Amino acid sequence: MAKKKFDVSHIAKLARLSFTPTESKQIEKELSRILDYVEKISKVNVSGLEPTAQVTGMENVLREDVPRKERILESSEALKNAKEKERGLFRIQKIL
Amino acid sequence: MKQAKSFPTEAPEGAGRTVEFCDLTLKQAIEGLSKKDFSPQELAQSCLGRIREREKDLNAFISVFEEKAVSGASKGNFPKPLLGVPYAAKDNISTKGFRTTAGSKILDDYIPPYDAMVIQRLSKAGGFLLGKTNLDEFAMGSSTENSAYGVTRNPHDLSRVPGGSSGGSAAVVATGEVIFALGSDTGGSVRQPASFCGVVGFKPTYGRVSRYGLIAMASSLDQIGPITKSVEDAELVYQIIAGHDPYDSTTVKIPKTNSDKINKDSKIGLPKEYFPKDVDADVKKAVLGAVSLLEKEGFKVEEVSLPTTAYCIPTYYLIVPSEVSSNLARYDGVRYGPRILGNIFLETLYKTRTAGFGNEAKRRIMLGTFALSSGYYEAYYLKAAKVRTKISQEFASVFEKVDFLITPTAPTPAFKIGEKQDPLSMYLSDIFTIPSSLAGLPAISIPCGDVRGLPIGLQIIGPKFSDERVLSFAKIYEKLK
Repeated sequence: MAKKKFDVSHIAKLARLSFTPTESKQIEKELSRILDYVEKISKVNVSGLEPTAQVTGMENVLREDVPRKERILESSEALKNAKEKERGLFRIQKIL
Repeated sequence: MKQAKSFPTEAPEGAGRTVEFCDLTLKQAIEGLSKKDFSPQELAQSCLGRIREREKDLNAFISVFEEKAVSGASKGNFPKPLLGVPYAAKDNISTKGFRTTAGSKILDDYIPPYDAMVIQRLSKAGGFLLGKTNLDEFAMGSSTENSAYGVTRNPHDLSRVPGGSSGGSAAVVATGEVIFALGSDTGGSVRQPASFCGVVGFKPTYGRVSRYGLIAMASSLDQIGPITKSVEDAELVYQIIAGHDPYDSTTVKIPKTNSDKINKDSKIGLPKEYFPKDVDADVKKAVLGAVSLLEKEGFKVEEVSLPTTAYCIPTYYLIVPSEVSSNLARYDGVRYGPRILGNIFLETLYKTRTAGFGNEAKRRIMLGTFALSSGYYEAYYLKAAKVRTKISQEFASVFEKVDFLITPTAPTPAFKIGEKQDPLSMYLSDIFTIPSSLAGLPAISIPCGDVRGLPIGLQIIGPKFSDERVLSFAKIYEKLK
């Protein structure tokens, strides 16, 4: 595993978070230390092993494609916590 | 030196009850309610009295439903089996019409439009929700110091942490503010605070208890579990909340069984990697003392090995932040939560998230985003997911030789508030609980003594879906203590 300097600004952009220059330095320090520690797993032999996605062993839990009344959340309920709503929709600012 | 609190298994006899109603176990409370020794209102009032007395020192609750307690409890007629017993739920469990914050500013004013399935089931069973407890933000932490709503203090020593992330739930049970509580456990968050606060904490097999309504942290590990005063109480709550739920497709259809008879030929395994040289000597002594009690009862004990144990923490701290980074992407100020406006949506998004998340949440989001990012995904996340398979396989092969594993729950008793400033040192304190979480196994922490006046717990781990056997076996130890 190549030793990579943690690129805070790139990752922050992906995560939609902003950091001040001081915070940036701090988080880079912390995360580099954590990364150094977790990189230990490169030593583990995992040949022939599938990755674990979930531990129940279940597959494709399906149900009939029929609407169930008791599962319907009324839009008035769904909108209750929104700061801005209009005509039954969540309203946001312009994207571009 | 304060002795760790232990709860009587028999109600005291005699005229003039000296035990407060709020100090009863769940079993005793149900007996009292069904015999009409007291009413649900009196029980709720007793809990509220304890809350008024102790909350200023503890800060274990984020919300206490005092009005609900007064009006609701007086409606009388609560169904069986819980008959109106008051309980608390960790504030990452959705409660319809009642504020649910997940310990975070970003959900400061969120009021869920639905009840989590566990809340629905407890309500149908007669449980009375008295309040929501404090937690590390989004369940990320091992001390309840990461909450946006202040630190919770350990009832046994106010200068110490109650553990985390379900520190609030453990503290309210330990101090008698409620009869039982619900926590959630991803890497030890029910078991470790139970150990630090001297109460019982049970994490069911992944898939046993519905996560519908649990504010997600790491979807492939999260489980809701009971925090109680006795194993019998934990068993009762587990039986109510566990079971397949069509609203959560990760719940299993494997039926629950009633208390299993534990046969005397059951073998106990002590994994040598859980008793290293640097574990607190008094902790080791307390746990091994418990094991010898069981040996005297006739159980066989043998040493086993889980060689990949040293890689569990690194595996966990790659998988969990990855899942976290995905689960926390929904917090954008659009559908719920406070919002800091910028000039355009993207600015609002950055500002809202940056202001709303605490430091540990940001750390894990960043770590997870990195581990899943292009160029790093294979070496970090995918590799960790394969190591996780190896860890599961090791447990499975050990359980071909023994029936239960016994380990310490945590390497130390409760540490001081502010003691662990370095994130990595905080992560290392979950060393004994993380492995069974990665493998999805049932595990319980039960008090086994105290170390220099502070409670300490031992952990019993069982094979997948052996929840009822783990509870039965834990009951046996509890009776021997």
